[in-house]
Amino acid sequence: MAETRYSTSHEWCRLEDGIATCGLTQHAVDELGDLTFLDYRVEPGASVSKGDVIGEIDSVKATSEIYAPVGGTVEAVNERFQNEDELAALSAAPESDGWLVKIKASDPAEFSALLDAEAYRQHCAQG
Amino acid sequence: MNRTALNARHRALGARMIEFGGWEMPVHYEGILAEHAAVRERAGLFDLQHMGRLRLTGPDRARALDRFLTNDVPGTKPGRARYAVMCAEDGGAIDDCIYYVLPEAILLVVNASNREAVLEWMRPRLEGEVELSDETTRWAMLAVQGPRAREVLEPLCDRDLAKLKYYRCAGAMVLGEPCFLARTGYTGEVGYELVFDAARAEWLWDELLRRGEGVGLRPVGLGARDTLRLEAGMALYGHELDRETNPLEAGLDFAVKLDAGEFYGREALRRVRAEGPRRKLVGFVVEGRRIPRQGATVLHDGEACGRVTSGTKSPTLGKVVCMAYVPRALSESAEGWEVEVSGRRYPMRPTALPFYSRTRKGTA
Repeated sequence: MAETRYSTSHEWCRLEDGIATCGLTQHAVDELGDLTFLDYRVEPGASVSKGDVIGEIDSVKATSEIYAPVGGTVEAVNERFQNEDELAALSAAPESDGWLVKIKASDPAEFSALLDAEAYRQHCAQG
Repeated sequence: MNRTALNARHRALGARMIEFGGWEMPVHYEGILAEHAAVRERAGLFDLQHMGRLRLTGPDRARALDRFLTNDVPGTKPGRARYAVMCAEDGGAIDDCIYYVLPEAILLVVNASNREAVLEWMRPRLEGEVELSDETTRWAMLAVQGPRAREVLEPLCDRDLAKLKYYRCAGAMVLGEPCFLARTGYTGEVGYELVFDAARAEWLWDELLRRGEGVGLRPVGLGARDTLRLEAGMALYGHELDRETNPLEAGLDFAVKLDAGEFYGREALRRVRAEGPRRKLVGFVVEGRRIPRQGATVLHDGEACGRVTSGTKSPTLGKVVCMAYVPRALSESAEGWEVEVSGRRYPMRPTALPFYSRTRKGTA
């Protein structure tokens, strides 16, 4: 399996054949708590830069933005998480069974610049 | 950061901890929704040591405190509690609080984030023979809230709780520990608050959880405390109340006694009452699933006219609800309301507060 890298804003990202598959980390969904709504800000075909807002996620506790960990062209958005049962499934396994957006990456160096698993773990530990 | 006497207990229970009002507090243990449901359906246990507990003693304590509060302190009999707002001269809220009149003292419970401001405001202005002491770290405070709260406490307590009516308070022995017990809370359910020696906090917390297990008593964090109070239409300082907001626009008229004793802000509030408040706090049910948070713009007939103070998806009602300040002239309007969330507008309709009432189920 391809290497998973992480953004400081708590997205995970895997790059395979030039396609970056992205989602929210377990740490992010644990911080949010009970999820109520996921809203995308992009559609397939949209061009995004690293750090652009690609969606928002609501929980009972807070609203959080989701950022593009790499720039490129949006290939797909995952429409599965449309109700609270599906969002509960997302909470349970956001990194293995919860991809949100696939981006055709324009610059592989952006992926390499993301945090590796150990660096991300330390980032989370620092709060 | 301050830590309550129960910090280690929260961690052992797997709580997610956050900073709140200068204190490290549990935001949730198993999850906000599960904890919210526990309080609505059974009973929840809250650590409230972060709330400021100030004690007034001395022969002039009632008159001295009355200068600071919108309610009628000398007119409040021993054994009773009252909600009140502490205003500055301009009528803006410094804090909101509950005071408890005991035979030998008055206990004033203030918000964690305002404890220092309250002490700074009160200390140089105290008049007469009165002493004000901050007992926040010395005394712990727990709440047991929910339809089965009485079942949890009654067997442990030397008092007949059926006789402790809403907003009454009394000394009591709980499992042999001297406590101050009040039928107050911040959830919209029947419930009790206990104040006692902080050195006994872990012991009493453990005993309550163990003995309450049979009726489904669960520890509840600040996350569900917020959704519970919001459903119950109760103000939270920093949201519905602040230094720029007076208690009459917040709909707290029941706690403002303009014709009792003199208090800071009374003249300003008399003018507000005479002229009518500039804006009003209104409850709304929002269409769709997006949650408008504090600061979201409220529109009427397409024109921006107000701001959301608090919003959530009501766990009990299954609907998105919010409270917002709108101009008084529009506050009775039933139609034409929208709220803006992330650049999109969602229709909403006004509804009577509270969103949820235990005696009037299925509202909003």
